[in-house]
Amino acid sequence: MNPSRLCFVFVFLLYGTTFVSAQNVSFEAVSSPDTHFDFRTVAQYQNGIVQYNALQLSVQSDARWDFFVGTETDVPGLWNQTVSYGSHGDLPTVELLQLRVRSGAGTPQESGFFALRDISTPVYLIGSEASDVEITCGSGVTNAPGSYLTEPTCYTFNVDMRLQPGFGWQPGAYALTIHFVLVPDL
Amino acid sequence: MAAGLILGLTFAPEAAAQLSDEEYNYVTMDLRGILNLTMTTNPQVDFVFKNIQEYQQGITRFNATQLEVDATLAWDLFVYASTDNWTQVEAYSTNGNNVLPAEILEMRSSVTSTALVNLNDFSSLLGLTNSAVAAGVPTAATQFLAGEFGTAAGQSFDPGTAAANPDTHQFRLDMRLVPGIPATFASSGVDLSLLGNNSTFAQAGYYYLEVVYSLVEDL
Repeated sequence: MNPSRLCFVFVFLLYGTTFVSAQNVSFEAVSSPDTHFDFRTVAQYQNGIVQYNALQLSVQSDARWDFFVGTETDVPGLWNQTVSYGSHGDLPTVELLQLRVRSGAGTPQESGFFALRDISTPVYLIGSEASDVEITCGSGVTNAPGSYLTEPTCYTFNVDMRLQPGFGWQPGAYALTIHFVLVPDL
Repeated sequence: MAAGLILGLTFAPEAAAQLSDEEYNYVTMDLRGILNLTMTTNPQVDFVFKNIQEYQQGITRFNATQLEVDATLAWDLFVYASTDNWTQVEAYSTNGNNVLPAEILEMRSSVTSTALVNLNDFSSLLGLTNSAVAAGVPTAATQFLAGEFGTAAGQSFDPGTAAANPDTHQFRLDMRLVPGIPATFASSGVDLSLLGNNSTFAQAGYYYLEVVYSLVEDL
């Protein structure tokens, strides 16, 4: 092959590589242990249990991004029951589980505890389903390209979890999966 | 070589591309069924008959026992005597009948029960056999303070705390003993002549009876 043509192909592919890499969004330095809530007293049922800093997510993105969260269960909207301790009461709904997602700069759109929903109708913490205006760190709900390494206050998120079941649910052991999703703003 | 270079570079962008990222957190929840029954009063209720008036009129202990229920699931509360008869500790006389059925004790609850057998008004407390409680499990013949035998709608009380639901989760129980003269306990409907030595009146003495309050998941 002609060396000049080969060089052209190489430059073209290099451009392609750079272009795709610009869409790179990822969670980094994730701390995601399993989280367990054990309700043994009436007071715990009434007042709930809060697990502070149950999870930490760090974001690195080369593109404008959205961040949303939802639950995954066998029956959307209901916890998966692994063991039943009784026959009375309803299966608990996923809305019982509340999250509070915090960043140093207060960037998430949901500032306090909010009820989770099925992932089919997720809660957007950064951005929306539509294309969003780019906001840089320090200007609000940051969705601009950036990294937790250089701007941790806008790209690192601590997640608190709260469960306040109240009464009337069927006694048993339950489980669900929380699905955190990071995507380029479309 | 050129072809290999092109092939390698062609796949490189696909390997590096990450158009989205996802993380999963597994959350488990253990909901234990909790039933708390608390007696807020002294567990011993004494009736001492020292004069004629007390024998004739009887003694009523208002709010003799107060119970509080905290429950995270639907529940029933029933009551029965742990024996059929009062236990005589000491006899003060050789005359009379020392077999006194549990039913001479009359009780009344502040909470209205829809059960067929209840204590909505002063009624005899049923002894172990008459209550039909077997191994702690009630039947339709058992006296229910809350809920009733069966699991259909309306046959149990709702979960909740005593503090938040004083009308349904706090029980004030009145107790009454009316011996009469002679001490036949006629007002309670018992017939002492059918028991023990068939004497129609109670032997003077010191007796006790254990009353069982049982809080259970709706049965």
